[in-house]
Amino acid sequence: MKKTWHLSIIFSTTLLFLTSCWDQELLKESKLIYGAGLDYENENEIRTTFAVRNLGIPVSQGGVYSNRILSVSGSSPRDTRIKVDRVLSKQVTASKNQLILLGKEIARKDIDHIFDVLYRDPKGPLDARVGVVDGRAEDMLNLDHIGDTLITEFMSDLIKGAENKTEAPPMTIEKTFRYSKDVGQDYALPYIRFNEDVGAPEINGIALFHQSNFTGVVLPPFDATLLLLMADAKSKKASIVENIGKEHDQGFLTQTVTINIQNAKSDIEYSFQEGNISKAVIHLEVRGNIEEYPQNHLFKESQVENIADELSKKLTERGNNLLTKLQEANCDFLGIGRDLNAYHHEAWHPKQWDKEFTKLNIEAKVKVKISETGIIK
Amino acid sequence: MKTTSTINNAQLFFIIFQTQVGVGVLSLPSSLYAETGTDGWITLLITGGAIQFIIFILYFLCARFPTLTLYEFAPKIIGKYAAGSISVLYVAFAIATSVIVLELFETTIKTWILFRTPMLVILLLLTVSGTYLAVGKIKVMGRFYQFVSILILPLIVMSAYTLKDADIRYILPVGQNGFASILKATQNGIVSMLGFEIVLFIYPYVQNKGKAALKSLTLANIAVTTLYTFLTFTTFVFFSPNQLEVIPEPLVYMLKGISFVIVDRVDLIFLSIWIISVMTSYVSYLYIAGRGIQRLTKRKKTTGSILIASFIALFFSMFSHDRYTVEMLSGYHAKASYFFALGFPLMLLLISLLFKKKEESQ
Repeated sequence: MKKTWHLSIIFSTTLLFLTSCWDQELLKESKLIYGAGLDYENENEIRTTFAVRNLGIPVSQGGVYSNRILSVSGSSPRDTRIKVDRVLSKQVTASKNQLILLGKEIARKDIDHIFDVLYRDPKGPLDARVGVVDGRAEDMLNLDHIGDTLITEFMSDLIKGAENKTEAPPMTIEKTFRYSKDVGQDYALPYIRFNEDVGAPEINGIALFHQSNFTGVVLPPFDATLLLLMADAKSKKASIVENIGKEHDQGFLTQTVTINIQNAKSDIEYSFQEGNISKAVIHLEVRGNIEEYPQNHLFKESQVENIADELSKKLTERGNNLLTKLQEANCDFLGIGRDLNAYHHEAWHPKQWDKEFTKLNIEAKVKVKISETGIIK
Repeated sequence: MKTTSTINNAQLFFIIFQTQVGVGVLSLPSSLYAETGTDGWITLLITGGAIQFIIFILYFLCARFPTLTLYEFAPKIIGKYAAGSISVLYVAFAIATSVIVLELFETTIKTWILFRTPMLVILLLLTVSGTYLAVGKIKVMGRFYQFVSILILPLIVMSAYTLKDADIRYILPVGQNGFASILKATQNGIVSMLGFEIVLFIYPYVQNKGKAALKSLTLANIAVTTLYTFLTFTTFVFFSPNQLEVIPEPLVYMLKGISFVIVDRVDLIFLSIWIISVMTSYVSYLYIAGRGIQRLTKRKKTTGSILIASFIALFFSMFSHDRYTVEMLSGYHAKASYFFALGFPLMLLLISLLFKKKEESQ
């Protein structure tokens, strides 16, 4: 009896020391992928560009961070990973990958096929940011660094920044997985372009997706903000700059008003005809503060109300334009299909939704309210 | 009966609770989804009701023989030989359950955490620690279960955190696939909530029998039903419906996507806690098997028989392990479990009522 007990204790303690022996993955023995870019090579091949972090001399001892950019082509993303492993001295690990860039061309193909390995691998980085690049992702990663910042960090900060400013939806690989499988809702990914004037990449709006394909339509950042507000997805900050009224223009730089949105409420109203959806009206109500208004000082409440009214009109117009673009792209970003399924189930025809959505009469009604004018009148 | 080997009502509650919560929880949402779509979480509530009904049957049976376990009272109801074969079947069932638990544990650990660790080592991890706990007294088990139940809280907090990304529209409209399919899926629910039948074997050790014990049983059932419904619900509002079809372990998958500043892989923490719930279920079944073997071989101590049971379970769990084999085996096991959780006890209860068989009061 006592012996068994002792044996069990010894056995379990030794086991504790043994378990990790097979599965340990030491940082010093692996190369971490910090970013990957995927490009269309030809009908049967994909080109993957890896940004692999060099872990040479630690920063505390005077070393600097640097990436090694490697580009390989192969028949699948995993195939390229295996190939890149052959040219690297240590084991490649993608579990810390924070950035996936898709070339414009490859994004138009089925991204579910490209991401399969990321969804399937238990170590796959599901929380990595995804972005679509104007041109080739390879070229973008080959920039290596922008100023002092490495391209991988630069890109993921760029995307996160856009998310905070409500210019891009917060999309990780996991979210892409979720929406690309969903019939009733589509999504958009941040669209990154190389700005020749500045010599650096910039967020140039959002790339609209339908199920798992990039539709080719890109909404500029301003429209992206408005769309995200319509989808009730305001992030930390959202600003809107709009030209208003020619009669106010009294000189240099006096055409615009900028409002900083405090809160936004969006509500979609549906009407039906013979068991089918006939119309969707998006009522968006935003409340904001004036951030900049060079035209005049605002002494009276009526002045502020006038600005708000004119803004409402302008934004409604813009809203309607962007909804048309959404329909052209067949990107149900607002999840109207989901709404139908959930709240008007009898009018929900999943198989015909692709056709129904493009023909649907969608209208935006934006109402702006201004509550503050900053610290001056 | 000595007081050192009795359990109080809180311990009874935790033994039932921990035995019920086990391997099934990971795959439950997707198996429910396969059967009834996004209404699966309602199924669980109905399952809870069905289990409550079974619990009444088990309780009435136990209450007729307050100081005896099933192995001891079965001969008094149906005679020595029939009872002997039922006991053998129960032992076989308990060992089979342990095998399934071990296999599911091994495959899950292997796919999610330890990819290269040999199968035997993973199996031994559970077997050694589980056997060690099972050979202790029932009171030790009760206390251990009670102690580790605090770990359920982080599980709830972690899943609740994912609700920030949830979309309630995924489960609406409620009942879209019809009530019939909701009812049909209850069998999937019951299978993952098995474990309450352990009351047949521990009831004699409960200090306060009668109403108080029934209360513990009911509370345990309510707790398990609530926990399972909540966990299933969170995965249903997190994943879009078509996605659930392709993810066999939605709970872990859901947590894999979130990361905090300090903790990068929440799913690993989740699995580490889940391991403990698996171990408690394993220990409970080992205990049932061990007591049965002890009774059948007329030994004085349980230690030897529990060791035998754990060796047999370990031996059988070392066979083929791919996902499909395990799924097939658990399918057969699920069908068999109806007899052991409901069929046999109901039969025994009816016979004992019919022939007015009952333990003589001392």
